[in-house]
Amino acid sequence: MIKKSRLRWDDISIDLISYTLIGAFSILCLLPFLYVFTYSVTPYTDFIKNPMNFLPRNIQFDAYKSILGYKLIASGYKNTLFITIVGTALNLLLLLMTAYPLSKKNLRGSKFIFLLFIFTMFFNGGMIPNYYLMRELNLINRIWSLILPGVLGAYNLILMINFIREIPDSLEEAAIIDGASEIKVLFSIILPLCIPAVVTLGLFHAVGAWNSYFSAILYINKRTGWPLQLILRELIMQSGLNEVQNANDDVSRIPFTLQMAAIMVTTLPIMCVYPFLQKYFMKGLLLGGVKE
Amino acid sequence: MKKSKIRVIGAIVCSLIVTASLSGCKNKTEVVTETNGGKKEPLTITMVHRLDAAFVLENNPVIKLLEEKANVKLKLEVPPVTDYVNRVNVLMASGDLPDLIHLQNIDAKYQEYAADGLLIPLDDYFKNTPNINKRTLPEQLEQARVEKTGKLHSVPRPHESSTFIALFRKDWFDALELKAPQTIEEFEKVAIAIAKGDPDKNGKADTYFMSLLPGIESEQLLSGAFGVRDGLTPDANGKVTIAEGQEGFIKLMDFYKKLYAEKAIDPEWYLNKTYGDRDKFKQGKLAMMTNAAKPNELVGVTVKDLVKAFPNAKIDYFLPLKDATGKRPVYLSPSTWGTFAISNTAKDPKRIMEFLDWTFSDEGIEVLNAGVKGVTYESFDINTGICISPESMLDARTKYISPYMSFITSVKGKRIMTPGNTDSERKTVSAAVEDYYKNVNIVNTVPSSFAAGFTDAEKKLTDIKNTRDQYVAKYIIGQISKDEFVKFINEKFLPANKEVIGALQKYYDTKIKK
Repeated sequence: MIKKSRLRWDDISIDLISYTLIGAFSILCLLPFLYVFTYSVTPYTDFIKNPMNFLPRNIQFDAYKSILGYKLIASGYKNTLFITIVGTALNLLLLLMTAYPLSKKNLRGSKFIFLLFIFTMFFNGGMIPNYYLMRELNLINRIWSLILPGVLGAYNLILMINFIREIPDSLEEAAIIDGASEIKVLFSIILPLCIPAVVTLGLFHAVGAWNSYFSAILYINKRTGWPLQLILRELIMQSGLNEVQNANDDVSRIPFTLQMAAIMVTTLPIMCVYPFLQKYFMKGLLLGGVKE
Repeated sequence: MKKSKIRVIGAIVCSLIVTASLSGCKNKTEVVTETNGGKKEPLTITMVHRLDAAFVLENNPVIKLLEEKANVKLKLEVPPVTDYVNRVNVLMASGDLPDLIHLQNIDAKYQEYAADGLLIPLDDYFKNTPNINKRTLPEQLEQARVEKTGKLHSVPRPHESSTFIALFRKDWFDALELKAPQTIEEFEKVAIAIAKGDPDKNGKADTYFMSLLPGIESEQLLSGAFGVRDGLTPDANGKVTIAEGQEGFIKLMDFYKKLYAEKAIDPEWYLNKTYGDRDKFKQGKLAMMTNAAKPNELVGVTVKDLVKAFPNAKIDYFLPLKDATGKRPVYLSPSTWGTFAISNTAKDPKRIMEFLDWTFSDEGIEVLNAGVKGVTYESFDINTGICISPESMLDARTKYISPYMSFITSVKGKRIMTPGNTDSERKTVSAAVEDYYKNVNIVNTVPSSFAAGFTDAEKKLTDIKNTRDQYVAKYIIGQISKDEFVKFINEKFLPANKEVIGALQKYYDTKIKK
C-alpha cells in the first residue's frame, strides 16, 4: 500500500496564498465583463439610478432586441465572419506554405527571402502609401482590402519556422523514401505535428481579425461593408459626441444599456471559441521552445 | 507524376491569383441620362460627408426628394463619424478627391488644404448665391477665409449661437426653500445649502451642487460675472489677452476652490469626460447642469431620461450671473459647424455652388430639416420653425433626417427648427430663448481664429495647455498653493502664449479698434 505524504503547513499556506491571489485576479478580470452583462439586461432607468451594480436585478432583454434589430449589426456580423474565417484560413495556408520551405537551411535564397519578411516588421509604408496600394489594386470598398494586407505576418512566420525546425528530419526523410512528394510531406506529416502551433497562431489571427476596424475606416466607404467592431465603435463613441446633444433633441442617442448589449453581441462569439481550443492553446504557448 | 502534380498546383495558384485580381474589378459606373424637355441633366456630385450611424442612406426618401428638387445625383461617401478626420486626411493626401467635401472643423488643416490648392476659392461664386448670402452672417462666412490666399475656400455651415444657461433641480431647490441665484453671492449661498442640505433626502452625502469640466474659464455662466472677457474684447486700456491673463480668471478659480472646499463641487470633477456632468445630473448626483446648456435641453433627452428615472424631478433654468454692474455679459461669436468645400477636381463648381445655394433656400431648408411631407412631418413653418411630426412619424424622422446631413441648421444664430415634439415643449423652449435674449447682455465678438497667426501659434501649445489643466485641477482641489498656481500662470503659461496674445492684439488694433 502506498502511503500518501501529508501536506506540510508551508505547502498549505503557499497554496492558500496562490489560490487567493489567482482567484482575486480572476475576479478582477471577470468584473468588467460582469458589469457589461449586468447593464445589458438592466433597464436604462435603473442604470441612471444606480450605475454601479454587478448583479442584474430587473432583467429585461429589450436592449438585445433593439441591437439585434439594428440593420448594420447583421451586415457587420456577415462581414466580420467572412473576414475572420476566410482571413484565418488563408493566413494558415500561407503560413504553412511559406514557413515549410523557409525552414530548410539548404534551400538557396531562403535567407534572402526571410530577410525580406523581417524587413516588413521594421518598416511600413504608412497610411497613405497603403491607401495608394489598395487603390491601385482596385480594392477600395472591397472586403478583400480588410483581409489581404494582414494575411501573412512576419512574426507568426518566424514562430512557425522555428516550430517546424523542431520536427525531426528523420520523419520527413522516411516519408520521402516511401515515395511521398513535398506537398504530401507538408500536409500529411508536418501539418498534423504542427497542430498546436497552427491552432494558436490561427486563434491569434482570428481574434485580431474579429477585432479589427481601422482598415475599414480607410478603405470601406459603404456602411454595409463595415465590420462589426467599427459599427460597435460608432454606436458607443457617438453617444459621447457633444454635437449629438447640441444639434438635435430628438436624435436617437444610444443609451448606455444598448451599448452594453452591443458589446455582448460582438464579443460573445469569439469568446465562445476559446474553450474548444484551450488544449491546443496550452501546447502552443511553448511555441519555439526547445523540444529534446 | 511529380511534374503533373506541380502543373496542377501551378494551375490552382494561378486561378487563385486571377480570382483575387477579378475581385477588385469595379462595377460599371451608372450613367444618368435623365432629361426633361430642356431641363439640365442632373449633375452627379460625389461628396464625402459626416453622417451619424442612425441616419439611413439606403432608400432614403429625403435624399431622393433632395435629388429631385435640386436636380442632382448625390454619390455619398460616408466614413465613420468618429474617425471622420482620419478618412478625410487620407483622401486629401491621396488625391482621390470627391467634388464636395465636408470638413468637420475650420482649423489649421483646412487652411493647409486650401493653401495647397486642393480646395478652390469660391469668392467669385458667392456673387450668384443669394440664399447663402441672405442666411449667413458675414462673420460666419469670414471664418472660411484662408490666411495664405486671402480668399474664401468653403461655405461654412451656420450654426446656432451658444446660449449659456444652467438647468437645475427645482424640486431640490423647493425642498430647501431656495431660489434660482442671480449673483455670485446668491450662487455661493445656494451651492453651499445644497451641499449641506441633503436635497434628495436619502440620508447620504452623495449630492453636489455642480460639477466642472476642462475649459472652465470659458464657462460663461459664471465667467462673465467675474469679469473674464473674450480673447478679442479689450480691457479699459485697450489691451486684449487670453482668459488666463485677466484678473477675473484667478478670482473665478478662487471661487471654485471655495465651493470645492465646501463640498459643493463633485469631488471627481477632474475625471469628467466631455459633457460628463450631464451624466451625473441625469443620475441625480448634481443639482445643476451647465457647461453650455441650451434652452432646447429643457426638453431634451438628458432631462427626459432624468424624469423617467426620478419621476418627482422638476427642471428649471437660470441665466448667466450678474456682474458687479448688474449686467449679465456673455461673449458670442457667430457659430459655425464645419464647412463645405469644393475640390480642385470638381468638373462643374458653378453647378455645385448652385446646389449648395439651393440647400440654403426655403425649399432646401424644408427638405433637409423637415424631410418629406407625409413621411417625416405633417407641417412645417419656416418662419416660426415649428415642425409638426406625429408620434407615428418619429421613427421615420430618426432614420431619414439628421442635422449632420443638413447644410444649414440655423439662421443668424437662431435655430431653424424650434426644438420640441409637442406644443408645450416648443413653448417652453421659445420662452427660455426669448428670456435669454432679453435679459443677457450679449457682446458680439469674432472668433479668435480670425487673428492672423492665431491658429498656427495655438497648435504648438497642446502640452502647456494640458499642464495648465493639471494646475487648475490641483489648485481647486487644494493640492497646490495660490502662489504656486499664480507663478505657473504668470511665469510659464502666459509667456508660452506670447505669440497667441500678440496675434490677438494685432488683430484688435488693426481690424476692430476704432
